[in-house]
Amino acid sequence: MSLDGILEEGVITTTVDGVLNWAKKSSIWPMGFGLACCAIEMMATGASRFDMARFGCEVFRPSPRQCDLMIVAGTVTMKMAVRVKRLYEQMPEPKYVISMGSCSNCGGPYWQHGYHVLKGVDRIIPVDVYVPGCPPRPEALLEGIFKLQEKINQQTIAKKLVV
Amino acid sequence: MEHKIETDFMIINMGPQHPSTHGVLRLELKTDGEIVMACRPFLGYLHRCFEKHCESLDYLKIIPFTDRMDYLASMNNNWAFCIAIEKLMGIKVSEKCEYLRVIVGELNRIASHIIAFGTFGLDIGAFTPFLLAFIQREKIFDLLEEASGARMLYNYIWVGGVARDVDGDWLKKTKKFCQEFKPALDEVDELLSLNKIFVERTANVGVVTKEMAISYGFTGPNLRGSGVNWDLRKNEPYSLYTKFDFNIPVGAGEQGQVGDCWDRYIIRIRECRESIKIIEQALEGISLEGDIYETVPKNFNKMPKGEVYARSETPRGEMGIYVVSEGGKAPVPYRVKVRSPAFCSLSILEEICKGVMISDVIAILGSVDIVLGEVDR
Amino acid sequence: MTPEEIFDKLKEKFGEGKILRLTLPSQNGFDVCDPFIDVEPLAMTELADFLKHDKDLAFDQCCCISGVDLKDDLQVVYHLFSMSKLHKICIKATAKRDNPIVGTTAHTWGVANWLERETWDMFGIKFKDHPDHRRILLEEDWEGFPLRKDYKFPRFWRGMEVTPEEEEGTYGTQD
Ligand code: SF4
Repeated sequence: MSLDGILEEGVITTTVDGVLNWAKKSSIWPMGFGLACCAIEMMATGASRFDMARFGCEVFRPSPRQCDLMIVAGTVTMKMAVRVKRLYEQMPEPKYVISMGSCSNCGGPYWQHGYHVLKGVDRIIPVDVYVPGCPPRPEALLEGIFKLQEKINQQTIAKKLVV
Repeated sequence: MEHKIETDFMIINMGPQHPSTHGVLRLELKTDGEIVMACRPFLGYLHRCFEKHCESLDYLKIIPFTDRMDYLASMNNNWAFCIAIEKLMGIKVSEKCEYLRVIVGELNRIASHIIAFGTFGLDIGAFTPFLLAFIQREKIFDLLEEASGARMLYNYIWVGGVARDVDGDWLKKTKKFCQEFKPALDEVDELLSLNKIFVERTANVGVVTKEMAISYGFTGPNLRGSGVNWDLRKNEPYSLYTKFDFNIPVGAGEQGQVGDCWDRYIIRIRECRESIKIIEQALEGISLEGDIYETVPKNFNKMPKGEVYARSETPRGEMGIYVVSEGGKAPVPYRVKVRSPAFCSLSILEEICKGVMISDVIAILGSVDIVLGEVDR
Repeated sequence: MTPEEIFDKLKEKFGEGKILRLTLPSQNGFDVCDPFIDVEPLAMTELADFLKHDKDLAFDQCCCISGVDLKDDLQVVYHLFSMSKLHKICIKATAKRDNPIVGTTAHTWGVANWLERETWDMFGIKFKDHPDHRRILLEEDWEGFPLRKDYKFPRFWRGMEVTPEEEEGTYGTQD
């Protein structure tokens, strides 16, 4: 870079995007809210063996106002769907959603006879990463979080010019 | 002239997204300052139409759905359902299968109790026991995964048998686990049970008397916490439970009154020890000879016409399965009703939450140990 | 007590008009069943009271209350158990489909309150004098009673698709 040698040691140069994305992706705070069986695996991901803290996203916040990430873990029923939407709206920007498990991806095992199950959470809120499985293993959820981090890394604050 | 200043009641809404309601349960609390005047639970946020599925799928396909009902104790759910269907069809399962069922069932009971007291500690504010207990839970999951192929929802116990065989190696590992588990449980026990803060928060809170417990359909550890010596494994033995020597821990009000939260909590810890005892005896007794698919029915085309109500002891209490079969060629049940222990235990909430502090509601809820998947089905 | 004795005792107390008949296993076309007694639906309230408080019967535990759709009628099935006497019985109350009303037992057994609400929610069976007659699992504005055999799945609920278009008609059918 052209600034080499001008600035003192210990200084690195990067883009604004780079700094912002790095900050965003290395401390994702998920919302501690579980719906069904998948939530237990989410708990396991946060607990002893798998330890989500290694990837900077262990701070489960009880309040949607303090979260960046919503992990929809489990079956979204009709009665719950209205609440999930409200919770999503309460989260501050930038916000991300991981849909964990086949239930929240598409209704899962309850696709055909589940009169009270929403057939996929993406019908009410936008989803960034889908994690398949019934339930997904904790490793799978971690992989989902890596994918989200990759996605965050590609974000830019520059607006596209609409021609 | 004297004025009486009146304060208003306040309605507090707890849930469905609340860290300590153990899933999606909503409580509407009418409070006078810190004191709860009335508590109204709202359920159904996880109603996944289990009973409708049962009327549309054939008998074998229902078993995976029973897994998802009480997802903390899937094995025991599978088992409860299979007991009902076996009773309906008159199948007697081979001894080897029964031994396997007992072993996996008790392992799963321990895993479920670990969550119960782990999250209970978490609700009260103790984080470490939760982490310590989860280490052991992962070990159980490893064992069950090796036996069944899945970590959490197993679909392992089938009508008339079990899904996969195990080998001698697995039995050895299980034995090793039993030995390792005992000191680990003691550690959690020492850390939590007699902790001053914990005792203060749980003793004498949410006292459920014997009569109330029976009337409100308490079963399992909750009922025993109220001082009733009742366990279906002993009182109405099914499977091989007559063969084993184990005790039934009963609440005695060691820290306060009989039937308080602390009693319900300690029962679970003690039950884990009894389960280990059962597993160790079963490991002695099992022989690996024999075919596990021997009594698995080839098809379900010749169902008798009739109905059965079969109950068995899951970690949360008595799970009753009521199956009505039309008979003849219909491979689907006409009606399946699940008497879910957590649903019945939860119905007491309205009654015992009158006049307690808000923070006690959390303690009561944690001590009753509900799984919303099973409450709402 | 054996089912016969229970039946005789009830009949003596309430008369034939209310206690209809006793079915033992392998009777009335059943291959397998627990012994059950058919009763008049509206008599359920006083019957429950007697079942619990009579010294010989002492049915202190109400295990399960389930609704069953018999196509022409709707039925409520009570599984009762006595922890002190160690006997059990099954009671069935059959109500007409067009106006199903059964006497409540919620004042007798605490747990019956919720179990009956669930039965109302799923089958639309009304319980006379129930203290808190609301739906329990579904929202109040849900239409229909899902576990009835003729239930049609709704297409939308509060603007959310319950039945995706491509699946319409195949839902809730038996395969
Ligand atoms: S995807 Fe499977 S494990 Fe997850 S909530 Fe749905 S049924 Fe449960």
